[in-house]
Amino acid sequence: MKIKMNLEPVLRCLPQNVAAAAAKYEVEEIRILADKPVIIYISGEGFFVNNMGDITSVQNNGVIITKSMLNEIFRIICDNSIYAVEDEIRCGYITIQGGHRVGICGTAVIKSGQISTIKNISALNIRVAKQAIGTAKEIIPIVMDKIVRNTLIVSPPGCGKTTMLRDIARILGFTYRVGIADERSEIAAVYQGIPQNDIGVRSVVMDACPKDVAINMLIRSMGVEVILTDEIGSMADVEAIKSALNAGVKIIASAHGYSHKDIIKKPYIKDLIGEYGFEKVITLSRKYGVGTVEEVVEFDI
Amino acid sequence: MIFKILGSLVIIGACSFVGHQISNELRGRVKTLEGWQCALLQIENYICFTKMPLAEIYKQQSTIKGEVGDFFKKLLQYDVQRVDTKALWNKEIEKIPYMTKEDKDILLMLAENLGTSITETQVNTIELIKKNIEQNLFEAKENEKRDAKMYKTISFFTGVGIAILLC
Repeated sequence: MKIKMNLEPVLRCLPQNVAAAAAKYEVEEIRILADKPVIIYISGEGFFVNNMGDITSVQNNGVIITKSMLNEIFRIICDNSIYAVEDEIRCGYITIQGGHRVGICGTAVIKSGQISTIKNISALNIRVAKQAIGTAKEIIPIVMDKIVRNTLIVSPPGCGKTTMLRDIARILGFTYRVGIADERSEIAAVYQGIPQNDIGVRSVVMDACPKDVAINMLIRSMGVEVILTDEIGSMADVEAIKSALNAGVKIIASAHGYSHKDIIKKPYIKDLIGEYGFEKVITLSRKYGVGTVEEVVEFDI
Repeated sequence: MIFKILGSLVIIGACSFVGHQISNELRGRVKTLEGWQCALLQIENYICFTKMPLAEIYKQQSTIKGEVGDFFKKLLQYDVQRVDTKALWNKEIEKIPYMTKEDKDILLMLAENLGTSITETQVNTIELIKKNIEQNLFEAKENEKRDAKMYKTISFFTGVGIAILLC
């Protein structure tokens, strides 16, 4: 398995000492809170950053990020163009170049009952994006035996569903016309129209668009053979998947759950299991690391 | 005698040149403000309809001919995604020729707000700036109409007057 990562877009947003520390290690996450020491996570463990641009476990030596510094970081993250990312801000995150995701905390401004923007930014959490190339090697023969099978990937959060979907898209994208309905920009990590992750040469992405709308658009306009989408669950998602299946398009999706038994109890999704729907349900876990294939259930059609 | 004639011509020419320069300044201000009026409309459209980031907007605007295009070309020499917009404009706005301090202050007001808020606020700010620029343009056109010809004539006759006195 090969890890692909471009940390440069993250480093350019950070103060020099924090950037220097982040560049030295395989950073997973950087937590920046106003008037608190910055914390960087390496292999699941949090460290503070000292003035020399290195990590330390002593909190008192940690570099404090002031409110004005935090605003400065936020300004650079937005490329000096808050309006350009206002829809993302409303959702509480911004995807930056390289596919890295910056979570935002602050005071929500409500207009007509909906979040209009977030002001008084108080915390930023930068999740460093890494594309694990080759993670889907094990499940590709399950998803594609002679033809692509309608497959549902099930797991609790943090077990690698999205990583798996991304790699499946990359592999299938070599042969099939793949469409990705990427509502939360997690699969392709599109930044200014360009997917930051390798999703295959024939894959197209409908980014930041509600899944049901994106699926229908992909069927109608992009002539796709396979559609990939993440975390399905609503009635609208299920209806859109049904219309895709009616149109002869194959579906590979993911959903939260612990096993196929759990899934067949869930409203809406249960309608898609078995006849006319998903032929295979793959359950993932973290038993032997992220993306462990726990169970594969086939349904006769 | 020939030296007197040549000298007089030189003096009249020099004075007329000064007059031309002053009227060119007046015309230049009108042209530059018209250019900004156009640019502001485009910037507003880019922000409102395509949510184009500032760096991209600068790139688009830099293709415009004239002072406005040159200004955006100069901005692109910097890391516009990183450097504070107000500081950047403040630095480069001083170099725009023909514009008065009042005109530049209006643009600095735009720079202070550009990119710092959501689309709705951006559009409101640009609308306000457009109105101010329009007022200044009206004033600049009036000045040009009233003064440009006058400066040319006065400078010519001043030159003639000096030449007569010296002869």
